[in-house]
Amino acid sequence: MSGEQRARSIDHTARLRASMWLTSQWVLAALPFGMAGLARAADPPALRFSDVTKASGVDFVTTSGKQPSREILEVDGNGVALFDFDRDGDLDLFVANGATTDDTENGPGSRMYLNAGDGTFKDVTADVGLKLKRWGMGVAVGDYDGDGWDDVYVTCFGPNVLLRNVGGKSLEDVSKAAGVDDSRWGTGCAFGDIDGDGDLDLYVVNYLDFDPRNPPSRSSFKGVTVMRGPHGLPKVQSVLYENLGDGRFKDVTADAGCIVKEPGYGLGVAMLDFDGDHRCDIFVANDSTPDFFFHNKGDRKFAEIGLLSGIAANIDGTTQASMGIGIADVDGNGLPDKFTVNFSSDTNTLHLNFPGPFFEDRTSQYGLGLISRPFLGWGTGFYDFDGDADEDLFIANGHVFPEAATQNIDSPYEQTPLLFERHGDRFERITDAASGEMIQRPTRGRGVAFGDIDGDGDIDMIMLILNGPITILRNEAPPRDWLIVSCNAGAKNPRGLGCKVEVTCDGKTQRRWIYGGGSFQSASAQYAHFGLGERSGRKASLRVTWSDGQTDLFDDVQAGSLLTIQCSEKRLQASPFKVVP
Amino acid sequence: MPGKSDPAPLDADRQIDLAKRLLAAGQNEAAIEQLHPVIAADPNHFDAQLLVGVAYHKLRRYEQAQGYLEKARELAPNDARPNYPLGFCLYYLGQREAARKAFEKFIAAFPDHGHAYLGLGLIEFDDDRLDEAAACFKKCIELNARYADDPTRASFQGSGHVRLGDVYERQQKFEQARDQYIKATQFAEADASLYAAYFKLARVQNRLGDHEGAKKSMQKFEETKDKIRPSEGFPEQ
Repeated sequence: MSGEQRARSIDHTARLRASMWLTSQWVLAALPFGMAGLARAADPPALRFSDVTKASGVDFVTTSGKQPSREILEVDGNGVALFDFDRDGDLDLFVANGATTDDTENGPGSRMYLNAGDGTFKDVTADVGLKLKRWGMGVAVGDYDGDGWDDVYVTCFGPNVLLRNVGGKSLEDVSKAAGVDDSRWGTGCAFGDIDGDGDLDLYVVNYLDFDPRNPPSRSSFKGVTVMRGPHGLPKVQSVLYENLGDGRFKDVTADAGCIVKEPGYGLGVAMLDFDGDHRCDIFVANDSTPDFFFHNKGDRKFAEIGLLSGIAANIDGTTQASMGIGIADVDGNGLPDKFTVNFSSDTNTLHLNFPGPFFEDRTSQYGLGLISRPFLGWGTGFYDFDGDADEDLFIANGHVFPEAATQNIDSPYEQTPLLFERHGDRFERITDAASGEMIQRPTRGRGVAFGDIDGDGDIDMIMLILNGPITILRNEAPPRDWLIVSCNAGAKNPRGLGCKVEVTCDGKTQRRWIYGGGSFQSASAQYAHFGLGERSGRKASLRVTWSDGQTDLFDDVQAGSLLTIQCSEKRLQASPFKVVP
Repeated sequence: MPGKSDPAPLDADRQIDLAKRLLAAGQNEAAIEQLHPVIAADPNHFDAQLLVGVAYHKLRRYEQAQGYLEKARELAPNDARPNYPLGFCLYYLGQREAARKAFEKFIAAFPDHGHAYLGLGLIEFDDDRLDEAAACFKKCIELNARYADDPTRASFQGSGHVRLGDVYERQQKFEQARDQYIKATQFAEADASLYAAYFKLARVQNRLGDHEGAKKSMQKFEETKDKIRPSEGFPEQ
């Protein structure tokens, strides 16, 4: 290990504390071999989730208009974020809640829950001064002011809200002062460092222009009368904000070249370096209009090359209704591939990323095409849920039309989630009830956030259900060698947004990107999570590529740890406004 | 002798004939209206079951189409015709293996029918069996090329070139993919539903460094797509 590497602190503190949620599998693993062997014969599958909502103490039904939905404003649902609000080492929960079309400014209000570390959450909404009653949609998390505390941005139907985290004690509305209170209908949002100056900029996706007091007439889909939209409703531009470093943001959408000739019906966003040039690009998932790929050319300039690069549409050039976004190196070529979930009677779409950048629709090659046609997808994410050293896939589903039924439009209103396990070069759908009751339960799935909620090393999730309960799904994977890598890129970017993390173990290299956005209107834990296989206490080598392209290597990293890698302050201070070549 | 208040007796043959003409005119829902009384009077009427299935297939209501087409298949196991639309319904419903069997049954009965090879090729492509997919698409092109004056068959021939290009592109054979897409664009001149050919051509031109060609192809893609773009609606509408 070099001197520079030594200068970085690696926190090997075993954060995988003994959880009160220990399950029988953990106990069985400790049994003598013979007994464990007997037990394994009846072991449940490694890929398994249980609904622990009731035990968690989170008893809250979100609001997104009335049920059943009648207008397009009511169908997207809400957003959820998993982040360490109070810096006590576990993931807390923020839920952007909605309202009704009668009064979009005064709903039941968004919610903040603290993770008590014992499997329960405590509602601290009032304690932290959270008074956001406006119709909230999407959530992004980022320490925009570099004070070490993760802040929360909420897109709304109405002025968006930036909530400054004051020492893990309260959430202060600083939207106006920060200049990010855009009043258009915002959906997805994400933080990312677009200009390499170390601080977090912000991209806000806008959907369309809708007046709840004068809703549009009804429309038709496959001969069934349904709500109108998005087609026929006015599109609006999305917004790119540059962080000025003094608590304020500046709208640089036009200067940066992010005004598009024909706006999309924007729903999702992911901010990361897609082509390996160490600049943060922006992918925007649009509903029923071509997706956008804003390629960062440096010097705060972008070029929209969605169609030219092949990422804007599916294999046939057909525009899709893109909602949630998943990012993973599916083909192992070192570049992040992009997965979007779409409308029913259409397939979800996996675009592989090749140098250029060129994106190719390889959905069918990986077994993700035809199987998705009856589903309408929202929150999604690639994670190694079962710890076998490859990334699996989860998708929350549910139709937008209450009138939807298999008999009339080939797609029911309430739908099961899709859980896929990676097997070699394909993803195989898991439908076995032994993998969890929730994968057989039709519901109105929407936003999903992923993270290790119970500190046992595997990835759990929070799934929102349209006008339904916040649902907490605990991963019941058996004991594995896990590694969670948190990258601190300095005071302005303590969660390391923009970092690429690679882990090599047993001759296999896995990659993750720590980025803003993804899933649907939701913010997942901002770290890189790796499964390394059966528990054996193995060691791995670790490479971190910081957002400026510099890399650090660490050998003999012990599995079973949450590592926090500290980028030296000196380096960031040496090039605070550097535009990375 | 029927009284004045008795409804006119159902003339199934006339209803069927009218439904066929409505289907040919693209009036799928009207065709279904004509056929439902026939089925109500005789649920085992093969032609009515088949035609309702075809109408729902054209409306892209595949689940409903599947029921009628499977009923038709059950009524006349030796008549392979329902298997062709049923194959596509099953394909679009994500039932890959059932779709494969339906196409194979159809091809066994109508070996010179190129359309079903297209469906079979799509399934092979979905299974990442690229050589098998290429063979199917080539067969689709070859069989449909025999009837160059038939616009429907020309459209399928164009689709065959598009899909064969997909196979070559996935195999990273960009020149061969480009050639197939160029052939497909010749059919897209007459049939705008093949607009994808221009998009794909632009994509491989970019990969081959022909950025000017790609720009022109992308422009043609937009122009051709605009000819059939619905004013409003959702994907697949």
